[in-house]
Amino acid sequence: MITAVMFVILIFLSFHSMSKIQAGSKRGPAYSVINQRIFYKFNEDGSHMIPVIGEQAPLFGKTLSEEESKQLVTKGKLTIQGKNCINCHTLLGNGSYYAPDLTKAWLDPGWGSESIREQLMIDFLMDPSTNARTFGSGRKMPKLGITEEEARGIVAFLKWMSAIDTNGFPHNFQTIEQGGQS
Amino acid sequence: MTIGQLDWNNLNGGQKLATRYFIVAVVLFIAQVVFGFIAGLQYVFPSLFYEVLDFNVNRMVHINAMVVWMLYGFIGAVYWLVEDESGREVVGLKLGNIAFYVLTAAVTVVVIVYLFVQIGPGTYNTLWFINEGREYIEAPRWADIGIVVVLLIFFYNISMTFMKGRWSGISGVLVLDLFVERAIGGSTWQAYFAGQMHPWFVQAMQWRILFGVVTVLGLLLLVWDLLTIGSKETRAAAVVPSPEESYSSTIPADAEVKPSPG
Repeated sequence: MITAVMFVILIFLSFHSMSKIQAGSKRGPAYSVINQRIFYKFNEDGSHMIPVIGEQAPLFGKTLSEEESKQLVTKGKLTIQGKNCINCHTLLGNGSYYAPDLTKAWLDPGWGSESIREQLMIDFLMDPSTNARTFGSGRKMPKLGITEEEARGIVAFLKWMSAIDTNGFPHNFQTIEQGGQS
Repeated sequence: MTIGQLDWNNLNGGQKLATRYFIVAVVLFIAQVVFGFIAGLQYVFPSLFYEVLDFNVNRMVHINAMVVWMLYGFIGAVYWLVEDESGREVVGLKLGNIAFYVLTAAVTVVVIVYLFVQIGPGTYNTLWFINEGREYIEAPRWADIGIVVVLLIFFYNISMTFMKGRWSGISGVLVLDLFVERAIGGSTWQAYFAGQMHPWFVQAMQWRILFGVVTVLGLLLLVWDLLTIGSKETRAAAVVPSPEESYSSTIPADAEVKPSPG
């Protein structure tokens, strides 16, 4: 009896959850968010950091339509799946702990400054074994044969993912300074 | 017959098939330990097998081996007891055997591709034929479809055997709980999302754990059964004398003294 009731509730919740996790919903922004700056600010209500979508800051200097943005982000997502990234990195709470969490990697201060971030990310993705910084761990990302097109897709995916409201996860992350603000 | 030893001739058809599943489960368990050990070593020696057998490949094989040996173990466990419980032969035993070899061949191909192809370009073809890149379900999509087909054959075999034989408490739990609830409801991405979006739902899911305990108790009984194969004869021989025999006060003086049993 309980099984039957919970099964019906599960079906209802599945449809409800599906509407909540689509791109363009309250927590998951539309793909064209990659044309804008993404900041984080402390939210008193939830007592954690929430994303704030800022002014125009097109990725690779080119403003994309919603459809073009979706294509680029999708290319990145497919590459992240095809290269098996999740078995070293964590994405949105899912994955492994061998390598840094990628959920907000776009905003990582480790990229230095906003002006060189995109190029550094591309260079790193295409030749990680040469450009890796291991922060004393000795662990280096291997060469995965990522093309420039795929690398651009990955950067777009990471930027889009960083704009998702994840209830403050991962906690205690610092963001890179952007447009004179951090 | 020796206690604790598996005698092939003494097994019914379902138990023979179960034994095949258990053998593959043990092989996969060894793979889990070996690849987990390599992945663990890579934390200490990060240059070990660098760009040959990287951490992501080892972790994937390690965890997938665990997921699949448990699947083999559960399927095997059900085949082990289905003939005993239903009182008849497995309906589609031949089909069940074919499904076993198909599944095992598919698992072998997936692991070979994991180890020697490892990754592919960012296209849908990679997701279909090399690696789906999603935690715990890295198996390419063709294999997902294959697993569904094999499990449908399994579901058909078990439910039809009980339908044509007899139902019992255990068969009810197996078919209704294990298949309908756990296979469709309990372990899917819907439940995963629902649990994340609605924490109260997780509380209600505790009831499922209760059913889980029943299942685990069933498995413990099964292990006990396995460890004491052949012991039933031993127990039958050790007849405990009834109180009348033991404490009879009317022993005739000329009665022979018999050695006590055992």
